[in-house]
Order: sequence, then structure tokens, then C-alpha cells
Amino acid sequence: MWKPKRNTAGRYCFSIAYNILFSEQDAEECVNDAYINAWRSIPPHKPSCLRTFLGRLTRNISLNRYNRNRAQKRYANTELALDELAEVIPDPNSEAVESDNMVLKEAINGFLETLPKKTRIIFVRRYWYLSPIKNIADAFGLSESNVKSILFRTRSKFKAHLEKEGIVI
Amino acid sequence: MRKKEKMLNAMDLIDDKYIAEAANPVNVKIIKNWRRYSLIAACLMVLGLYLFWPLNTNPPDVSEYSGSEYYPIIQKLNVATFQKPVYKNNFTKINAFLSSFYYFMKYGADYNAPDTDNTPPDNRTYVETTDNQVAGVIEADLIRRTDRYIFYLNGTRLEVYEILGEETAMVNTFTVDNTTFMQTSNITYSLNSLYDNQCEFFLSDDGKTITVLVRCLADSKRYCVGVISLDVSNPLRITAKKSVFVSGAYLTSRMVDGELLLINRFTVGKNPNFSDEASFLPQIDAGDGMKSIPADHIISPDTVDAAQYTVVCKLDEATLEVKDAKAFLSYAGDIYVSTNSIYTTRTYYAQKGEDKFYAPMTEILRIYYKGEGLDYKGSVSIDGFVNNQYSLDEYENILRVVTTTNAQSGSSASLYCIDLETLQIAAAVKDFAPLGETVRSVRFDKQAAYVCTSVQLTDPVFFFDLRDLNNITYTDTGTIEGFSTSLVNFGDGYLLGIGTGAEWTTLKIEIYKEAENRVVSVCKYEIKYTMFSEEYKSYFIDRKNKLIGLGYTDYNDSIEDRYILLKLEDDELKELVNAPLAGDNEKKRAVLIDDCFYMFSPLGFLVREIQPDIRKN
Repeated sequence: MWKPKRNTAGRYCFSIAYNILFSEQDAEECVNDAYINAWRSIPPHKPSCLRTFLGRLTRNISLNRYNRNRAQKRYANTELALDELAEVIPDPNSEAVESDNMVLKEAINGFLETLPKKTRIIFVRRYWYLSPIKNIADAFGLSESNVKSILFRTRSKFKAHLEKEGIVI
Repeated sequence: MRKKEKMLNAMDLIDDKYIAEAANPVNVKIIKNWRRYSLIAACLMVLGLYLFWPLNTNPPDVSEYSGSEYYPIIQKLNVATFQKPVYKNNFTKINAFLSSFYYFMKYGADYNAPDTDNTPPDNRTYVETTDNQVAGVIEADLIRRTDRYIFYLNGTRLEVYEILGEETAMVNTFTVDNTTFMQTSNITYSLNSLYDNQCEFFLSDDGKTITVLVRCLADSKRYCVGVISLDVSNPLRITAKKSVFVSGAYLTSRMVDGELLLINRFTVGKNPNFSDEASFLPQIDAGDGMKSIPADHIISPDTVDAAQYTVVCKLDEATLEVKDAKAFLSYAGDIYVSTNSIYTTRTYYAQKGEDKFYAPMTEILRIYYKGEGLDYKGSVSIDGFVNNQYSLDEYENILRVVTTTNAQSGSSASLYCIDLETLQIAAAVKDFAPLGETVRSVRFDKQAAYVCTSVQLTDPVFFFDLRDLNNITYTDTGTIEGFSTSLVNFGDGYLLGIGTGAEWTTLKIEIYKEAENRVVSVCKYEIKYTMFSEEYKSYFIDRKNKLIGLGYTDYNDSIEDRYILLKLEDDELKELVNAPLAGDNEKKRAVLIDDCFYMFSPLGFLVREIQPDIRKN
């Protein structure tokens, strides 16, 4: 099968899609869809960073495909990441009202700002890029348990932060 | 599940900058290797500190010794012994080493790396033994005799020969060794094996006491000179009487009216331990242990340019009692001893003229020894540097000095007359030699002076008339081949020059005479392809009989050590003896007793009968 040669952005988008879908073919399609969507949206919308813009499109398309395919396939990594994120959801007995996106964005980015660089990158890699723990551990030269431990502590802090800010998701 | 997805979507609100940050492989790499990078950075910092941290340029603090009576000396020595680092930091030091290594590899051993060592100036040894410079001021030598015995010091072995003409034989020997020293204190003295062939001795007027000067080591590490008194009243049974030790390396000695003047150089090593007096103060052991010279007997100039003392010690010849000792915190080069004073010279360099050219200067210190003790009378500085002790002479309270002066245009020679009352220059003849000449030998004779200067292998001999200091006149021989390393007043208006001929390997013995305001060469004797000693003590000079003797090595046919005796007769030098005598030419000595000529060397001795009519003059 002929495979187009990927450029840097292509490899970046593919890795995002592949982390979510765990299927080379699905990931390729998502990347292509992302390119098409980008082509359509760019004339009125001018992204500040094309690479990240493409990444976001790929991520959304891949998550949509993930939702469609979930019934038929196993997405162990994505499922696990979602389970981990579920822990972070603040207590439902909270009296706070559901927050709008702007408040949530400020809370999330404010929290990331407080994190050390290394922890922040690991957190973003895991819960935005949905990278497997093994990949993160390899990239940083850490053990998997070490990465898990870092993620656990960060999630706890994140949860506490959201609660403190009165965020309800 | 919906909440999980909501959370997942909430993650989509993360700022682009954090998403880009997490995607950047450089960030990940830095974080991954931060330990390694930190270690490298720390190593680089340590290396940078080691390489570029400026080296210490201040001498160590010695304020802890402020209570000592020697504190002013300690302060000066602390500065003098401190070696300022040649390089600003270790980087320049390593760079210089690598450059030297590179040039050494490129050009081999021919490449001379810059010399950064502060080697003291060359210390010339004396040039004469049997012909003392000043009447009554006896110099130590390797040979002395009584009416019946000849004493010859062969290394540390004193050989006794009974004078029996051609039947002469060695009758006894006495070796100065470690057992000879009187071990009177807890310090162990031993012979300095490096210099055990450089001993000298005096014989008392009554012929009963020999005083040997040997180079020793105190506790196997510190240089000192042992003064050993031997009882030779019975030369067949020699015994050691007493020994005194003075710290420092032997420079010279004189015997005047039964008083021994010993002059040493004591060098303070690098980083001296100021809590140990022996490491920075000259000491004397007169039988009761090493004792430092008292602080008020140490004379130091305002600025000290060498961590060295010139130690002058006055001892009684018979008892070896130390009458006085003085130390001058200053370097000493050549030393001249007159009938009443010791003059030490020190060469230094000072900037002169508009171009600030570093020209040599000589500081002369005068120490009067004829009183009860030793009195420092002061110092005077003149241009140039002296050749040896024969460049100085005291006559009628005037010190005459001949120096090689050096200016940017080239070298020359100057003569100075110094008034000893005021230590001021009373008269001078500056730059009398042609440009480029240096002084090779000097001889004063009362109100006259002879100076030999040369450029390479041509020399004029100058004659100075010093009768009127306000009108010093001089003349010269004009350019002649070779130059004299020793000029000797040969009596009856003759001047003897011993030195090099037309070629460096030619021995030239030349006789000069003053004639009608000029110096003329009377005759000369030359031997080609020879090596000879410039040690003036090794020359046999007999003015009365007009005899000259010296050892030489003949390279003409085969290598052979020989000894020649020449006689000046009818303005011609005639060969009386030319005999093989093996051994170091510097150590060869000779005496003339009655009709026999006795020649000694470390490897044997020789006797030749001289025809009686030869001795008529």
C-alpha cells in the first residue's frame, strides 16, 4: 500500500490520532480529515500556531472516531486515560454551579502555570495527547511507576485546585 | 461516561503554549538529561574556576612572628622567598606548557623553552693560589710546605711528603671524614659528597696547625662549612683538634695575622618555615650547638632582591674561637680582601637613559675587619660588573675597580677610584675600551693598573697610570691576537698574561712590558690544541726566578696531561720542564725547593731537578 510521505506536522498529527485510536489506518484518515477541515476553516480563521491548530483538529476528529468505534474495538490506553481523568472530576455534592468554558479554561491553565515544567509536560502529554504511559516514561528516561506516581499526584492537586476554584464539570 | 468525556473535552481548553511545549522534543530531551547536563555544567564551572582563577600573587602572612626579634628580617625574607607566579592563571600556564611541548616535538631538543627560573648569576671561582693577591692576606690552597714536609690536599685526603729531592716520598696521609668532626651537639655533620673535592686549607706560621675548610651537611640536608683544626706538629701522627661549623655554602676565606676570615653564602629556600630558625637564619656551631647569628649582627638593605645572606665569620686560627660574625642580607658575587677590609660585590640591573635600558650595576659593600670585630662601613654603587676579585684593589685609602660596562650601544670598560672615607667616586675613566669589548683580566700594581679587554680572540692590554687621580692616563698595546684570562705582575716591570691565543684551543703565555707610554709584547709561548686551567691558584709563579708553571692537556698527537715550567730569560720564554703528569689541571700544584721542582696532582707527583744556573737571575 502506498503511503504518502509525512512532513513534520503530519507526523505530529498522526501521533496524536494514533495515541487515541491505536490504529494506523484510522489515524491516517483522521489526519487527512484534519487537513481538509483546516483547509476549509483557515480562510476566515487564522490560527496563531498552525501546528497546534492542526493538532487540535486531529485530536477532536480522533476523539469523535473513538466514540463511534468504541463499541467495536478496545482502546485500552484511551479508556485508561479517561478513567484517570474521571478521578479528577470534583465532588458532585459541591454547591457550585457548572462552570462555563472561560472559567474552566482559566482554572486549567492557571493550574498548569503552577506546575513544574517536567510535571506539566507529562500531564499534557498524558491527558491532551493521550500518550501511553510507557511512551512518556521512555521519553523522559523514567520508570512507568514513576510516571504513574507523578500523574497521580498531579491529578490530586488538579482536583483540589478545581474544588478550590469552585469548578463543576 | 458523559462526565469523562466532558473532562476530556475540558482538556481541550489547555493553552496552545502548553500543548506546543509538551510536543517540543527539545524540552523533553533537556528534562530527560537534566542530571547529565547539571553534572556537565558543574564540571565546566569547576574547570573554569581552576583554569581562570587568578593565581596568588601575595606572599603568605607572617604576622604571627611579629614578636620575634628577627621579625623585620622575616618580613623581608618572606617577600624575597615568595615566587610570584609566572602565569596569571592555570590556563596560561597550561597553554605555555603545551606550546613548549609542541615546539619540542616540532624542532626537537634544539628548541630552548623560555627560562623562567630565577637562577642566580654565575659564581666565578678564584683564579690563583700560589700567587696571593695582597701581601699578608693569605688565601686557602691545596698546597703548603714547611722546611721538611710538603702538605698536599687531594680531595679530603691530606697527603704528607717528606722533602728529599728526587727521593721524595709520601710519608703519611690523613683523611677528613665524618669521624673527624667533633659531634658536640645533637646535630649530625657529614661531608657533602658533591663537593668533597673542593676543600682547601691553611698552614699556621709555626707549621704546627693545619686548618681545613670542608663543605658539609648538617643533619644531611643543610649546607654548612666545617672548619677543622688539625695538629700537624708531628706530620707522621696527625690528629684533629677542634671543629667549628658555619651554615651556608663556602665562598672564600683568608688568613690575616692569625685570624681566619670565612665567607659563606647562606641561601634561604622557598617557603621557609619561620618557626625553624635554621631554615632562614645563618647559624654557627662552635662546639655548643648551632646558634643563630643575633638580630643586631644581621645587616639588611631596605629592599632585598635575593633571599641570601653573605655570612662573614672571624675566627682565631689557633683556638677556632669565633671572634665575630656578621650576616648581610644580600647576594655576594666576587669578594676581595685587602689588608683591612672585605669587599663584597653584588651585580644588579637598573634602568638607565631615555630608553630605560637595563644596565648592569655593581654594589660594593665594605666590611672593616681589623678592629675587634667586623664593622660594616657602607656601600657604593658603580656602573658595570666586575670580572673577578682582581678587578678590585685598595691602595692608600682608595678602592680602584675595573668593570665591564654595558649600554644599549654595546659593552666597554671603565675604571673607578672610590674614596674609602666617603665611599664616593673620586675619579673615573669611563668607557676606555673600544665598543663591544669586555674585561678579561685585571691586575693592579700600586699606582698602576693593567687591564686586558677583548672581543672574541683579539685583545688590547691597557696600562693605567694612577699616580694622579685628577689626571689618570692610559695607553695600550693595540690589537693583538688572543686574550689573557690572568694578568700577573711579574716583577721588574714585566707583566705576565696567561690565556688564549689566536685560536680558542691555543694556550698563550705572553710577557708584556711598559715602554714609553705604551705596553709592548716582549715574548710569548704558545701550545696549540691544548686545554688548560683558568684557575689562577693552579699557576706556579716565581717572580724572583722569573718562572711560570702550569698543567695542560695536550691534544696534538694523543691526549696527555702534562706540566710545563717556563723561565723568562733574555726576553725569551724558555721551557725548563715539560713532563707528563696525569690529573685534573685545576688541582695541579707545584713548589720549587732548592734545586728541585715538585709537581703534584690528584693522581700522583713528580720531581725534576733544576740546574742551579737556571735559578740565577
